[in-house]
Amino acid sequence: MSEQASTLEDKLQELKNSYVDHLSEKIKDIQKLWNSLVNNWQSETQEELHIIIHSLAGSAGTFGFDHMGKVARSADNILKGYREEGVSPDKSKNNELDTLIEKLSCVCNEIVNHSSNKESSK
Amino acid sequence: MANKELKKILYVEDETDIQAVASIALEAVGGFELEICSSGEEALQKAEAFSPDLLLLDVMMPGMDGPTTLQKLKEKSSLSETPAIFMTAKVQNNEIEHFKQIGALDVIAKPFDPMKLAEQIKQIWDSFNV
Repeated sequence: MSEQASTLEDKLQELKNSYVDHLSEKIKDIQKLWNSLVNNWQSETQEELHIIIHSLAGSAGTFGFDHMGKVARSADNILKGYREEGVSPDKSKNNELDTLIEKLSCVCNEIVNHSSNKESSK
Repeated sequence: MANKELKKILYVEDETDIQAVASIALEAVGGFELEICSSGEEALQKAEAFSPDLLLLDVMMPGMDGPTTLQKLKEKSSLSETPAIFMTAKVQNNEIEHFKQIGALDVIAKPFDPMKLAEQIKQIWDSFNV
């Protein structure tokens, strides 16, 4: 690998590490918004949740976390239906969202644990 | 815009993680001059002074979304002919057609490969610039 390519790889790895550092916080924000939405369905909260999940669907894969990106995409599609196609939130879809958000949390824990194990084995 | 070389890209993206990766992908890998704006509002303030060859816009952003930003940028006479590309995590065929109808050359899907993004953009640019 050329020196320049190696530097670029290093920079991308740094960005990936920084992304992982903020991932838990992002998932907590998603959970907080989801809990708030379930207790009191407000379109502003739904919009906020959709933007953060949509953004996760795009960013996770860019940093190599394809599984997280796919789970986020599934949640994104449900919220997109609510937002753009006028689908009313229903119990079955909300249960699906609940499961997907729970799954995001599990995948996030796996990523963070894997990353800290790698760091500690250096 | 026949045979014009692509040098300056105005990139509108709200997420800082993606801004950072795109900056490596487009400046270090692609060799472009990049101006990053974190919102549509910021793009409207900075775009004319930067005088970009290409507008690259995220679709879903808090506040002003990508399509609205593009529409407002194109209302400025110096940018009315500036080509645009959207980047988004949702790319169904009917949506791509919709984005093209509102003035985009093409749509790049997120997630993107940071080592290939510049090449993707060059290909789109070249295919519309022959």
